[in-house]
Amino acid sequence: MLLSLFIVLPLVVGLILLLMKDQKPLKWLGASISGVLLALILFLYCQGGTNETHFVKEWFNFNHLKTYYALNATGLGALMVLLSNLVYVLLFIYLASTKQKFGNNFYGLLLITLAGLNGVFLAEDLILFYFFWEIVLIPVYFLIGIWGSGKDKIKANMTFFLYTIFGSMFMLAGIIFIGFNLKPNSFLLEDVQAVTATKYCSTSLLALLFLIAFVIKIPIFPFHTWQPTIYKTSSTPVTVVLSALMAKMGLFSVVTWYIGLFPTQSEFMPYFLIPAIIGLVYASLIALSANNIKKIIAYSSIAHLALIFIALFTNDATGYTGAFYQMFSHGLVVLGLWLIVDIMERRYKVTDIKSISGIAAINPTLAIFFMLFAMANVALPLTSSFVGEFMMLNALFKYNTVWAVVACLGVILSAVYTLRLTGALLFGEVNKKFEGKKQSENIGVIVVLSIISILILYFGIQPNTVFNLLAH
Amino acid sequence: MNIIILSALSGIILMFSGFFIKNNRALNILSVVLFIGMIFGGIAQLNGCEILGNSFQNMVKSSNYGVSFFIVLAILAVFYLLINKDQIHKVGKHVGEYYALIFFSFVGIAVLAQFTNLVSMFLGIELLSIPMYLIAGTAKKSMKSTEASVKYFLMGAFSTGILMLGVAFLYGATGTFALEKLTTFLPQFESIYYLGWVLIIFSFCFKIGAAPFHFWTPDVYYGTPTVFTSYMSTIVKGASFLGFINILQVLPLEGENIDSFRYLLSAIIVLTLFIGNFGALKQNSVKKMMAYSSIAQAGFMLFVLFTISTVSKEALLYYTISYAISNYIIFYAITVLNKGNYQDFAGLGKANPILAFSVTIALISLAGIPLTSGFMAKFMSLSVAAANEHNLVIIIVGLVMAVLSMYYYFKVIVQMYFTKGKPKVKHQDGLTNFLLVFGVIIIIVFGVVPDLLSRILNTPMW
Repeated sequence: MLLSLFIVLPLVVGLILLLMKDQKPLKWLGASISGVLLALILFLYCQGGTNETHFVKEWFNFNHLKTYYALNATGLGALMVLLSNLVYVLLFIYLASTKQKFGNNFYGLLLITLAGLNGVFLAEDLILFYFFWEIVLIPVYFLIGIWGSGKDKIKANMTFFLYTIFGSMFMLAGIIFIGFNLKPNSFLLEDVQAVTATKYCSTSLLALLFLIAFVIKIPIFPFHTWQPTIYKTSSTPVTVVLSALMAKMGLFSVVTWYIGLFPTQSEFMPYFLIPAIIGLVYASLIALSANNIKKIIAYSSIAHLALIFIALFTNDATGYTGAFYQMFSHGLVVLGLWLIVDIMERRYKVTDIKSISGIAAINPTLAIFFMLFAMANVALPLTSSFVGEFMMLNALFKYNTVWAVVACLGVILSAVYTLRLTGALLFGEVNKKFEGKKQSENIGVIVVLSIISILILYFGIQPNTVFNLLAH
Repeated sequence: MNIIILSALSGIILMFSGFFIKNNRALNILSVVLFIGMIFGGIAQLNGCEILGNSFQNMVKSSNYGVSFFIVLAILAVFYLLINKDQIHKVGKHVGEYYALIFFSFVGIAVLAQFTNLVSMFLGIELLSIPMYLIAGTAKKSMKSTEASVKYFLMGAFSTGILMLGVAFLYGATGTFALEKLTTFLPQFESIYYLGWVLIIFSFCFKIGAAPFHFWTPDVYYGTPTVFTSYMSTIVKGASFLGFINILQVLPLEGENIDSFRYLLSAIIVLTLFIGNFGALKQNSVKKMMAYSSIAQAGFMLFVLFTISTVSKEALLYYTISYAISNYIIFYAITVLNKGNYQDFAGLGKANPILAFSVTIALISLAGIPLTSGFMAKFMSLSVAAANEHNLVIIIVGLVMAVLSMYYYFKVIVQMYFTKGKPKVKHQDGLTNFLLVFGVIIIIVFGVVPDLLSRILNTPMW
C-alpha cells in the first residue's frame, strides 16, 4: 500500500502544479515531496522483508489473460528508487536555492517524471512495467520541447522520442507474443518467467525484441546517436534526469526483464556484447576530441554505461554486484557533474572548453567540487566509482581477458579526457574581467554539492552499506 | 426491430421539423432527445422487449452484440451532436435535413447490426452510405464539397456493384441468401464460392477505407465539411466494421483456407498501414492528415479480423469507442480553427489551454501511448492476431508503423506548445469545455481500466 505512494504522490502533486502554471513558483514543494519519498524508501529498508515491500492487486483481464497492478521493492529495484528520490531531492534543493526562471509547470512535469520512474523500478507485472516505461517519455518530451535550447531543438526532440519508442515497439510485439501465444498464467514476472525462461535463450528472436528496446534507451553503441544531441539541447536539470535516471531505467530493465525472462545465455551472446565494447572505446575517443562540455560528459556517460552493460553478462557475482553498485554511484557522480556544468553555464556562460579558464582562481569552492566529481568520474580510489569499476573489471577479466584489457583502455581514456576537461577549465590564465574577484556560491548549492561529495566519498570507503541495501 | 423503427421515425420527424422549427439549437436538442430515445429502445430490445420482432422473414434478427454496438454508436452520436452543436448549422441552410440524413444512416447501422441475409446486408450498406453521399456535398457553395460527394457516390456505387457480384456468386454456389445456410456449397462451384467471398471482402474494405481501396478517402474526407468528416470517419467506419465482422463470422475457414485468408488479410493490412502512414507524413493540412490517419487506424482495426470470436468483437467495440472520441476532439479543433492547417494550431497551448490539452491527449491516444485507451485498443486488436505465431512479423510491422504515425501526430503538439503564434479561436462555451474534458477522462479511464464496462454491468459483454 505504501508503495503506491511512490507513484501517486508525485503524480498528483505534479498535476496540481501543472494547473497552477501561472502562479508563483513553489520551489520547495518539489524538494519536500521527493524528500518525503526518500524518507519512505529508507523507512521501508528498515522494515526489512515485511509485506510492505510487496503489493499485488488485480488489474484487468483480457482474452483470458490476467494482469496485476503489482509493485515490488526488493534488491536492485529498491536501490534504484532510492537513487531516483535522492537525485530528485538534491536536484530540487539546487533548483530552489539558485535563481532559476522555471515556472510551476516545469516542476510539475519533473514530478510526473519521478512518478513514472518510480513506477518502472517498482513494477512487477509486465504490462504495468511497459506502461511506466512509455509514460516516462511524455513529460520528458514536453520538458525538452518547451525549455530546451538550440536551433534544431524540435528535430532533436522528435528524434529522441521516436527513436526510443521505436525500440519499445519491438518490446511491445514481444509482450503481445508472450501474452497471447505463449499464454502464461498472468503477466506477473514469475508467471512470464515460467513460460519463457525454459524455452527461449537470451539470443532468440523474442529476447532480442526486448533487448533492442533497452539497448536504445541506455544507450549502447550503435544506437547512441540520439543521446549527445539531446543532452546538449535540453536544459540541465532535465539532462540530470535523463542521464542519471532514465539511463538507469534501461540498465535496470536489462537486469529484471531481459536477464530475468531469458536467463540462459547462448553461445552467441558475446557477439551481441561486442558493440558495447566498441562503444566504450569509441565514446571515450570522441569525448577526448570534443570541445563542447556537455558533449564530453554525454560521451563519458555512454562509455561508463557500456561497461556496466557488459558486466551484467559476465555470469559472475562480483560482476553483478559491481554493476548494480556502479549504477547507483554513476547516478550520483553524473548528478554532481551536471550541476557543476549548470552553475558554470549560468554564471560564466561557459559552453566550450576554450571559452573560459582559470576557474580555480576565481571560484575555489566550485573548483574543489568539480575536481572531486571529475576524479569520481575517472574512478579514482576513495570514490564510490572505484569500487564498482574494480569489481566489474575483475569479473570481465575472468570472462574475456581481451575485453578486460580494452575496457581498461577505456578507463585510461576516461582519465585523459576528464583531466583535459578540468585542466582547461579550472587552471590556466584567468580572464581579465574576472580578475581579482573571488566569487562563492549560494549556501544551498554548497550544501547540495557537499552532500553529493560526502556520499561519493563515504560509499567509496564503506561500500558495504550499498551491498546491504542490495541484499534486501 | 426497435432500433430500425425508431431511427427511421426519428429521421422522418427531423426531416419534416426542418420546415417548422427554424431555431438551430432546438433542432440539435430534438436530435439528441431522439437519439436518447433510440438508446432506450435498443436497451429494451436487449432485454427482449421488441416490437415487430419476427416480421422481416428472418432477414433481420436481433443479436446482442449488434444491438450493443448500435447503442454504443448512438451514445457516440449524442456526444458528437453535443460537441458540434454550434458547428452543424454553419454548413448550410437546410439544417433539419442534415440531422435527418444522420438518422437515416443510423437506420443502415441498425440493419447492419442485425442482418441474417445477404440481401439485408446489401440494404444496410446502402442505407448507411447513401445519406453519406449527400452529406459529403452539403457545403453547396464549395467546389471541393461537390467533388467529394460525386467521387464518393461514384466509387461507392462501384463498390456496391462489386458487393452484388460477390452476393450473386455466393447465391450461385449455395442457392440461398440466408446466412446460416451459406456455409454449405456444391463442390463443383467451390471456386465461385470463394471468389464471391473475396469480392464481398473487397467491397467492405472499400467501405472502411482500407488499401488498395482507399483512394476515395483523402479526397472525400477533405472535401466534406469538417463537422461531417468527424461523423463519417468515426461512426460510419465503426458501422462498416460491424457489418464486416458480422459477415465474416459466416466465412468457413478450415485447413488451408485459414492460411489463404491470413495472407489476404495480412496483405491488405500491410498496404493499408503503409499507405495510410506514409501518406499522412507529407500533408500540410491537419484535416488531410487526419484523413490518411483514419486509413492507418482502419489498418489497425483490421487486425481483429484474424480470428472472429467474442474477444475480437470486444476489441473492435473498444477500438471504435477510443478512436471515435479522439477523432471528435481533434476534428472539433480543426473545425473551430481557421483552415485546419498545421500553422493554424500554432500557439494554441497558451491561447486555449483546455482545447490544446484535450487535443494533446486525443493525439496521444491515436498514437497508441500507454495510459490512453488508444494503447489498450491497439494492444487488444494486436493480441487477436497473436494467437497464430506466424503473425509475429505483421505485428512488428504494425507497431513500427505506429511509431511513424507518432511523427505526424506529434507535429500538431509541436505546433501547439513549442511554436509561438496567435490562433484565431474564441474560447468555447461551458458545455463544450465539459465535453472535451469528459472525453479526456474517458480516454484515460478506459486506458487504465479497460474492462470498466464489463465490471460495472458485472457481466462479460456477450
